[in-house]
Amino acid sequence: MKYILLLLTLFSVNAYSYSNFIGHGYTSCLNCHFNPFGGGPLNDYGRVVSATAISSTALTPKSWDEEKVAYMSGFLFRKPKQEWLRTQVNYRGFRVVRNPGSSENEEAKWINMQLDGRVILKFGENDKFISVLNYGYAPLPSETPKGTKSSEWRSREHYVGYRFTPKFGLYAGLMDKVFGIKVIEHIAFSRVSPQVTQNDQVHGVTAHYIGQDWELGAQGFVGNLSQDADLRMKGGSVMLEKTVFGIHRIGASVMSSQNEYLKLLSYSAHTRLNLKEGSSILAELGQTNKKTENGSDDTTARFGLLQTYLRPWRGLYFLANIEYFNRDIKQDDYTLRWGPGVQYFLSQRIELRADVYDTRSFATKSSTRDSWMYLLQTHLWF
Amino acid sequence: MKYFFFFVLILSSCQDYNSNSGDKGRYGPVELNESDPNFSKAYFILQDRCVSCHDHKHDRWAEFKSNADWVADGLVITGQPATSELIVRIVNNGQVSSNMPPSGGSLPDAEYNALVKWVTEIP
Repeated sequence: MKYILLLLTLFSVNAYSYSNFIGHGYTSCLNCHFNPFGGGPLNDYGRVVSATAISSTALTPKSWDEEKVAYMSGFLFRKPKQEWLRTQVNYRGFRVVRNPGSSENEEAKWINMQLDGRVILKFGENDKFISVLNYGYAPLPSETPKGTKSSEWRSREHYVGYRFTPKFGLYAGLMDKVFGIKVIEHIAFSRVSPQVTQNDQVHGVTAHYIGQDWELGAQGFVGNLSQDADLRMKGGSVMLEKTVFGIHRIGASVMSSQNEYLKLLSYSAHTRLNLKEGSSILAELGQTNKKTENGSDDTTARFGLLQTYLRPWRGLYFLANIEYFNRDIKQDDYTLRWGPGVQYFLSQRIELRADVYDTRSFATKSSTRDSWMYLLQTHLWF
Repeated sequence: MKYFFFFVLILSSCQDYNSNSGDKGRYGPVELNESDPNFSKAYFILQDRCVSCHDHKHDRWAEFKSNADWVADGLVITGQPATSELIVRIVNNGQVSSNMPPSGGSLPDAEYNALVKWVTEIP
């Protein structure tokens, strides 16, 4: 217990890993992640929270108390012996089955979505200076044209950060864009439409400020420097979140970006509601205006996300996911994607998850048939 | 010096594919081999709605830049939208076998009608 208390004492604000962990009372990303806007490597506090508050104790020896569980959350199954270096390995893979049960169209495959090795250097009081490298494997998207020479091994993140005060920090390097709720589903319309998916990191500078009951992020970026200059999306974004009624968050984001062929302006409002005991609701509604250089597109798309996480007991979350997308708000056509899911943190370092998705599009006079898909996911971290 | 090389290694090892990798092909200048105004409108609809799948996985629709290309491929029958596979397969057509596009939204009626007009009036 003293180890847990020591870690809790070192940090002054709450923390979470996934956005839905606001249901555990954690409103801000900062203390569980080195990136103040979440994603990427967990810090020591995050690893302890993951082990002692999030994960089930189903596989934990009965002789272990919570202090022992926290101690074992380190990379080498013990508390690190030095303060300046942290390493992590993260794997995520899943079996995806599209059109299950269809003799003609069923398609099933296993996808190794992510295998990352992470090295973090940190110095100073409260990790004032950090340097993060997140390097690993991610498959080329299925729609990538044949003959593309891109490597599937690459840097997902690399950046340095310095917190001038506990409230204010600056970060520079390759990072995720700061926009909206960072849900894990990279196919979510709320991530695809504003182009904040798993491969959309950009080089830039990010400022982060956390006040008593609000949090602000501002980012200027010059695109992905590994891409040809004409493809790099240059721009900036701002996201503001405010704590309401002590336990919930409401927020708003705006982002403008452009390359030589495309201009995007995205804006959204979101909320994360704490239903207590680990349960939560996430919701986001936004629009993206897209203008293309060749005049083929000047449309505004609208996207919506509603996710509920219900936690009957430690380690287990029942999910419901509803998404809305209208690619041109001048038209009545829209797409709905919905489905249930279950997320189980079997023990620290092991997350199992199953999701079902049904996608259906509706036009003025017709609609597509239901398009079913399910995912069985394994997430391991060390 | 070794730190410099390490830094260069990191920068050069970034992913170079993301949501914008195809922007040049999708949204860049296009030179069509066709003066038919109906075709230029149809071409952009097909680019926007169909080509992300119907280019590398299955076929080469991005290279079809004239009426003759579509007719030669058998997807379009001049003046006969009701029997042209390209049109018949679109979900707005209402036929049981129509299932395109499979996800991401059916075509707005205005776009569907533009495709039908194009096929109907091919010179």
